[in-house]
This record gives sequence, C-alpha cells and structure tokens, in this order.
Amino acid sequence: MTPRHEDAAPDFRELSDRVYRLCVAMLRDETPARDAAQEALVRGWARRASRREDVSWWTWFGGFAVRVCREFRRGRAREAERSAGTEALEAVEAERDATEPAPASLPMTRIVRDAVMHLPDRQREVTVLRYFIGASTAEAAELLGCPEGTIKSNLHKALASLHAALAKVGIEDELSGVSAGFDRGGSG
Amino acid sequence: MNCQACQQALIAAAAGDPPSPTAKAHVVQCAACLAFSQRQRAILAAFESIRVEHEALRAPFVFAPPGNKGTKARRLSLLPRVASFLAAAAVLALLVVRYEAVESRSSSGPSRVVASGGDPVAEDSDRVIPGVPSLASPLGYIEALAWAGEEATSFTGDVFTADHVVLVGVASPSLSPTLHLDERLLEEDLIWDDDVPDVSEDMSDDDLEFILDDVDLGDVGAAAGRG
Repeated sequence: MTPRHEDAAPDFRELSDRVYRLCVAMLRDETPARDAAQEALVRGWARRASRREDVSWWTWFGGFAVRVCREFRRGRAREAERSAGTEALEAVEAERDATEPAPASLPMTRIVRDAVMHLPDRQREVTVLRYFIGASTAEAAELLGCPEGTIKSNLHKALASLHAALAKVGIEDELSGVSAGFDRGGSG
Repeated sequence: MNCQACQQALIAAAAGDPPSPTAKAHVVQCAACLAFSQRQRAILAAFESIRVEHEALRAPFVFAPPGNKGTKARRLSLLPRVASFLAAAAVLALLVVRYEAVESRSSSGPSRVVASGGDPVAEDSDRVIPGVPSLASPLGYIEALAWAGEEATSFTGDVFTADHVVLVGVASPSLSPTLHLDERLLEEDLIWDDDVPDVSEDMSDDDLEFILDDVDLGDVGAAAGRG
C-alpha cells in the first residue's frame, strides 16, 4: 500500500536543497534566493494542515517558493521604480543595453538565461520549472496551481519568444549552421 | 535531445568546452537529432547546462521546523519584520486617535463606517476602493477597512460585521485616498498570498468575508488598543 504523504515526515535536508534551487532559478541571485527559500519553507510549514493528502511535500513547499519568488520580484521592481522613477529606470536600462557587449559573443547559457528572465511571469516560471529544475508537466502544473494544458501552452509561447530572442542576437536557425556554432569553441 | 552523444556534446559546447572532432562530426550528421534546428539545439543545450548547474547547488541551510526536537525555524530578516509590525501598530494607534476624534464630532449613528460604497473613480478603477478615509504617516500607509466586531460598509455598499481588523495598504502616499488592497498586506506578511482574491477583478462581499475569515490581525489590533 502506498503510504499517504502526510504519514511520512519530510526530508528537510533534501527539501531545503530543492526549494533553494528553485528560488535560485527563479530569482537568479543566491542571496535573495536564500531568504526566499527560508520564507517559503516557513510559510509551507505553518500552513501544512491545509495540504491535501495527494500533494507531495516537494510540490507543497515548491508552490510556496514560486509565490514567494513572485513577491520578491515584484518587490524588487517596486524598489527600482521608487529609487529611480520609471523614466529614469528606462533610461538606465537603455544605456545598459547600449553598452553591453554584443550578446552573440556571450556564452549561450547566459544568453538563454537572460532571455528567460525577460519572459512574462507565467512563461518564465513554467520554463524554469520544466527546464532549469527538471519538473514534469504534471509537477509544474501542481506547483503553479494550474492545468497541464496551461503549462504546455505557456511553454510553447516561451520557446517561441526564446527563438525570437536568439534570432535577434544572430543565432541562425539553419541546420547547416550547426558546425559553425561549434567552430566558435575553437577545436577541430 | 534525441541522442545522448549529441546531448553531451551540446552541453559541453554551451558551457564553452570545445567538442572533440568526433563529437562534432557526430552532432552534425546524427540522424536522430537532425530534426532539431541549430537554434533549438542551442536553447535545449543551454537549458540542460543550466539544469545541471542548478542540480549541483546545495542550500546554505537546512530548514528546521518549530517543534522538531527542540529546534526552531530560522528566518532571516527578522528586524524588518519587527519594524513592520511596530509601524503597523503605530499607524493603527494613530488611526484610533483620528477616528475617535472624527466620531466625537459626528452624529452619524452608532456604527463607524470606515469604508463606503460607490463606483470606482480612479484610473486604476478595478483596484480602487473609493471613499475610504486615508491616513498618511511617516511610519507607513496602512488604513483600516473595518474594525473588529464593528459594522462597516463594504465598497460594494453592503453592511457587514468584521471578525478582525481588516487593514488596507496604500501603495503610494500620492495615490491616497485610493487604496490597493493586496500589496501592502503581502509586504507586511499580514496575509498570505493565496488568501488574497484576485483584486484585479471586481471583488464581492464573499471575497471580503474570505479575508475576514482567514486573516487574524488580533495581535496588531491589540497592540493598537483595539483588538
């Protein structure tokens, strides 16, 4: 007989690692991720009585992590707005974009990670869960509290946006260009 | 990725490691993977590289829930929380003084109606509760929508009795007296995210009751002498 989730005490070491990883993936920086992970664990634990039997500890705490990260990101955006003002912020962003090195010269992981971070909230969360964390579609749906179809459609939109972002920085979409991409590695 | 050799080669390439000539030749000609375009390969390889990177991460702490063999949950940033609580209590105390003063001048019946109905008037209309008196303070911008145990009129015009003090946060002093229901509550941790109905849509009294049922602000109210 499969034990009920609530019968098994959570492995807090593993949970801490997984929730922390999720927060790092969502927020990108490790310092706020540490705070967010602890906050998510505290909230999840405080509200554990409302957890359904069929919800695993990972998806329970992971769901809180997603919401806390969302709040952190909103807070950071508000903070940036308060300190710089919207127009000043746009000017800073424009200046930064102009002075950054050519994106195509950056490592591909950084280009993709940057592009993911600029996706709309739900698309970014879905992409992070599915590809950075390795969650299944069903797990991602449970973590985000939405149907699997929503996960798939958002993933589709996210990948389309990423394709567009890579096209913008000059990554070709031709099969024949594969070897050219590798030549930049400098071997063979 | 359709084949493991391609996957390994692409991960290495994304991480900046040059693939061997054999690996490169394999990737270019691999029948299984030719279905992928270069851009798709780049994206998938980067995803995989990032996933592997994250998998190696370890939390710098292990969560210890309260009651687990005498250990206590550790929360960072305790000071801001205490400061927020004290600020909320101080603002509530100011509110008490203000409403006492208003009531003593008013002859409008026994109930302290602090929220009144009406159509949204501001630009951000679906997030606005019009007609609620505002209080700006250097300590913060928190307002009471209803006092515990007292009658109030919701913004939909219905009278209800609050079980708890219901606080409403103002996003910015310049927006006063328009109120943003969720943001400050979330910031202050006075209410959990999933307790807050979607305030971008019209709220009903059911939503208000939901808030009233779920939020226990007794401590805050007590600190302000109104619990």
